[in-house]
Amino acid sequence: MKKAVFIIVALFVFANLQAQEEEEERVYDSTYIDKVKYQQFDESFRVYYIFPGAVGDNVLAKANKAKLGFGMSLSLITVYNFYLNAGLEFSQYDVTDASLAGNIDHTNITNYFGEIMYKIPVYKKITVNPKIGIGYADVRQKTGSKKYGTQSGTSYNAGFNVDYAVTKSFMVFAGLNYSLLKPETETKSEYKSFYGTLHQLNIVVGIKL
Amino acid sequence: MMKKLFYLILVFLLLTGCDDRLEYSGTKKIVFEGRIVDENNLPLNNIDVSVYVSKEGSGGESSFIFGAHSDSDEDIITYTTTDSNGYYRMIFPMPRDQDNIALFINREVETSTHYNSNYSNSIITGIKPENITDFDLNFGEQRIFNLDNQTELTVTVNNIPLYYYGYIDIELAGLVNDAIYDYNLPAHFNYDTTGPYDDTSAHYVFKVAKNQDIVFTYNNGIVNGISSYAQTTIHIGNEPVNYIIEY
Repeated sequence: MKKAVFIIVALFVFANLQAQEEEEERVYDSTYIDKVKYQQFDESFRVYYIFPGAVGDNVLAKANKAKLGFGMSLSLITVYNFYLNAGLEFSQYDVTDASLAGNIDHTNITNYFGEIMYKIPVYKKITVNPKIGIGYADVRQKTGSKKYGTQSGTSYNAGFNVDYAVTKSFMVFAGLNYSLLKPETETKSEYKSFYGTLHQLNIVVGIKL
Repeated sequence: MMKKLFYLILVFLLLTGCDDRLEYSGTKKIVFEGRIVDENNLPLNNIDVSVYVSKEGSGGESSFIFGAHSDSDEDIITYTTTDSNGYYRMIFPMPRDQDNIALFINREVETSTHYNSNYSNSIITGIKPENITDFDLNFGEQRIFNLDNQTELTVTVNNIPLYYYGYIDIELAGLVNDAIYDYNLPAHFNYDTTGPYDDTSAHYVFKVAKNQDIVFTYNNGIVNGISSYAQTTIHIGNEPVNYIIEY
């Protein structure tokens, strides 16, 4: 959690730097969608609730049950409707099979990521935003405050959001995120993929400021 | 200034103080597997099997098996039940700083879902990391027996030297209830001893399966600093057995 707070604070500081904007052209229409040609810094911030899920033949899908999650991301740079974002997502699962995941209460996944998102206006106040990115994920198991080890590795992320502009500066959105997690694993060879290749499929709903 | 620095250090030490709790590697996963059969070598379904991990505290051995309480830590780190063919498999994070790993078979613990009071139970203790190869330890077939077939074996060893204080090392091979076996000792030691001792005899009471031969091995002296053992076979029928050994 401390690492996550530090990263978020750092992102906010970076996003609020008084840098020189090189805005060539900005077109406004009456439906609150900015059709931006080029802008160096964009300070939009998303915070969202996650309905976590897991699919495939792996310990997350077979021995855990999704519980809750939350995420946040910050747009850093915008270029011709391409957005460079950074953020983190936290998901918690309840262990359901002690013979596979240990006699432990929770499996917690924290995913720190960067992504490129493209904004596609589809209707007056609606945009569809596919995205793809890469990150670093921790898989931690805990019962109360007692820890049962951490696996870490690369995350590969893809998904999309659908934004609805309530006002010019406030949007709500929903989306679907897929993450392929590759935490480092050492075990009997026939189980290496089961513990070392995890597939998350998360539904997200949130707000964009 | 020095006082403030002192309190700051004290708070830091309190917040980051020693943690006696067990530590685990999230990266490394260990597999324990095997099969449970009955006295007729028939597979047993729905028998509880669990893995116990412990770390000794400053007071000595940890609490779970031996009943004492100290500032140690312990976990039932994983558990399962046997399938219709008697097989079990458990996968758990590898402990880093444990003093003991044990396998509980049909032992009633906090996680028991199918403890079967109709069958005997046993513990295989003293499992060490070097016993695990390629993150796997296969215990093979372990036998427990139906308690409807249980009887009692009493063994008395007389005329033992005074310097043993009424206790000698023993080995018991056979179907025994409440047995505790050490995985790494060449002999299987059962700790079910009873008193009172008169310092010249040792007295043991075991709950055993009927209609079997128990191989009873006992320490019968020290030669050139090395313990020697004598062995005898005790036949168990349908009735309780009282067996007397003259040291």
